[in-house]
Amino acid sequence: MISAAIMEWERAPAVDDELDRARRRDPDALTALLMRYQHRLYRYLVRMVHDPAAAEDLFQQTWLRVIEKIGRYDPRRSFEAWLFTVARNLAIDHLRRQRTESLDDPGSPARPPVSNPDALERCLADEQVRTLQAALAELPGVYRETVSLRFEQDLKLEEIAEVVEAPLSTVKSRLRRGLEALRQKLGAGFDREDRP
Amino acid sequence: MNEHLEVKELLPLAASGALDASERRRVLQHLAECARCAAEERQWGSLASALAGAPRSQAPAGLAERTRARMLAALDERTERRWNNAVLAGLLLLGWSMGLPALALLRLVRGDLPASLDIDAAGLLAWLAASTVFAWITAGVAVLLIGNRRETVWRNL
Ligand SMILES: [Zn+2]
Repeated sequence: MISAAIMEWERAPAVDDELDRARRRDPDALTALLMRYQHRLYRYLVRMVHDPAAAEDLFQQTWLRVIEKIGRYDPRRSFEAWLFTVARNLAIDHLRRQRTESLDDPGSPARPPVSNPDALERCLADEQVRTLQAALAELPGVYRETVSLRFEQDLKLEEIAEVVEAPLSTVKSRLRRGLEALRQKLGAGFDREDRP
Repeated sequence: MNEHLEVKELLPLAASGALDASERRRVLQHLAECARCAAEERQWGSLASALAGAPRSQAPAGLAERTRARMLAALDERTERRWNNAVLAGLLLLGWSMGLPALALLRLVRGDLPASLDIDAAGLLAWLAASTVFAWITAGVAVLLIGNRRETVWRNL
């Protein structure tokens, strides 16, 4: 109850108004939302499907789906969580079609990122960052998704639970196991660098 | 010892800002008296800050603009589809309303119009005339809408 009150207080009236207009399919409001969430949404999709071209396609499909479904979005809930849920469902359909990995099966390893990494990553000289990115990409789907939603998309745990349609306890355990697997992959090399 | 193991399990979540208030208190209390967990907590902390601080990839240039164009086209199409549905509903209504005078006319010609319907021939003609005018207007609107739709399709090609 308290957290709901805080959320309400945190959300600026301007954003509320924008969501209201978006729900009535106002093109300007929808464009503003598209611009605001473009990087986070794209990042999430790349993380999910490992393929920039497919992520671009899913990105566009997500916004077309948003237009269709936004009338059913409940404005008392987090728009981010709703948006990522729409994107996630499309990504899962895509992965199912690909049949390369299942998000619901923690045992299946993810393909390492193929094709061309994006410009920002390519320019990175920092070895540690590259190692971290590679380790993250190799995590099983469910863990990779949860870690990414928390650290790359900055979602709250409750919002992640909404997106992945799982109880909070499941999200917590996926996050913990994901981080443990990540640390195991990174091994002593990562720990050593942070020792004084 | 049990406390040590349980708190150790909580450390990755603590680094992710994923603990509730009571769990956080418990962890802090234990860290104050357990050097091994305190060291462990620093490791998780550095992993979490590396994750949070990692450079973030951006959406490719032009993706948002392309998406916006498709979104606006889809909105147009949506509006048009709703118009078409409205016209279709109007045409159905028209068909139904024209069926009634035709039936009445038939019965009038056969001379068995029920007395309760007390419609004279002049009233019936007026109704038929109005229906015909309405049909022409509806047909005109439908032609305009279909023409507009073709234009949209061309624009989106
Ligand atoms: Zn301890």
